[in-house]
Amino acid sequence: MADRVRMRIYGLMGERFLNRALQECVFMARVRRINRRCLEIDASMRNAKRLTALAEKYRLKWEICGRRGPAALANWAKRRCTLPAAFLTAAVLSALFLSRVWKIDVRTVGNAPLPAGVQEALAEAGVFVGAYGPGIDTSLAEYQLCALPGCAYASVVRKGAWVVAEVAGESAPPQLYALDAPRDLVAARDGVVLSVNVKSGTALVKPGDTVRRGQVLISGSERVSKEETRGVAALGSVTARIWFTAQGEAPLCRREMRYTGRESTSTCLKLMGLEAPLTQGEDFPLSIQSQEELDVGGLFLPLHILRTHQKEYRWETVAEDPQALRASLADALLAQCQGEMESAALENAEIIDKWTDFSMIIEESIRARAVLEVSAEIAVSRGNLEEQSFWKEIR
Amino acid sequence: MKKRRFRAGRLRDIPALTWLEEVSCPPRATLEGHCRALIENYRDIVEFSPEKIRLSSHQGEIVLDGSEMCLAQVRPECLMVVGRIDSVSMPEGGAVHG
Repeated sequence: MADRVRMRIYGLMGERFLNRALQECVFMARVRRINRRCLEIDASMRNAKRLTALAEKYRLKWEICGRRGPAALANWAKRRCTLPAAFLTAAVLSALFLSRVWKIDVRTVGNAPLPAGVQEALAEAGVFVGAYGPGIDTSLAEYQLCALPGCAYASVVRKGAWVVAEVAGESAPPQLYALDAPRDLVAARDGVVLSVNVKSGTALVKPGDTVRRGQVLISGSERVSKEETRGVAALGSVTARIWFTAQGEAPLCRREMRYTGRESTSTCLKLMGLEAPLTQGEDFPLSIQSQEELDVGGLFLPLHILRTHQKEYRWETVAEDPQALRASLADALLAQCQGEMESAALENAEIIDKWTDFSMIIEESIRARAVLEVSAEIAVSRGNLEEQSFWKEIR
Repeated sequence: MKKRRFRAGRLRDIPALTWLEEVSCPPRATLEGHCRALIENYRDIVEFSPEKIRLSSHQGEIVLDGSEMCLAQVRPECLMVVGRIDSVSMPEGGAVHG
């Protein structure tokens, strides 16, 4: 690529300048008219020199806008001779930075809680912030994590400067019971029985029955003969329709603070606990006060002007939007019901229906009752029921 | 010793050669679509703006109308007009190829 110079010639008679240049056998690669007074010319280095000489001869103003080609490139490289060193330094610094571990992300797999001491176990295996990345033995780290009590599975992966440790805690063991020890299955909540499935024992309820909390659903006794029964561990499931309810109340009006627009300012002179009033503003029964201390004597004389600013306000009763109020109240109550359902930890719980009833009462407030209808298995052992009651009381 | 350089533009100053050029080299325009035109055997640039270019030749005036026009490869014997060329008018005896 040849060296190319872009220059601008200023003057009213651009055409005449071009003709003169052509008479001098100056070749131009490109000529563009910028405005009435300006021509932009691309030419080779040699021709550009002749054009500038010609412009000076005719006393025309000219300027070089840019250069291209090997010479310009060499000039550019000369001006930026420190660039390769900078690139090299940046590459070395990046390599040093990326060869270290700067973030350790510990994630939990499943619902089981994270075992204690994960960070310590990783540090013991050489996985810590600032550690040399290629030197990390991920299998050793996994072994250390698996050795933790309560850890069922561990995986350690290095992704550049980032280490991801996935740890799965052990899930709770299933409830054990002695097959020979007789037990009953009772209802965990009040409800209407939908289906009964007995594996061992005797069903004491049938679909459609209404049961109360604690009522025996499957009895742990089996008839061996006409006269003889024996105790067994009752097994089976009873699905029932149960309800969670929540009640709430919300006022139809709310009180809002509104500024009246009246303001007053009082000032007093303050010197070491002594105060002398300068101006007295109006006092309002309801106001927001702000105080400002202005120094008068500077550091050496503790003299201040204390300025108290009062903004009067009044309380106004504003009516709420009834539709929005109902919607928000219903949402809150249904969320409360759902929370209660989740805390009950029932098996195979499935929401069948939900609704909210509203009733207007005196004192300008609205009362609502939300109901969540759920189908769930309610048969639990008596021990479980007592445990649930205990935790409920604790809560 | 001062080096003497041969310049093609000086040939125009010789009257006999000028007459020969008038007779043998009529102006010629070669169009490549609407975006490029090669003008040969012109004499001077009379007017040059992005919308209009007027060139003089021995047999009359060559006028190019268009928009965003500029000159490329400007040489004494020929030049190229680049841009949006709407029309080219040639003098009597001139030829347009395209």
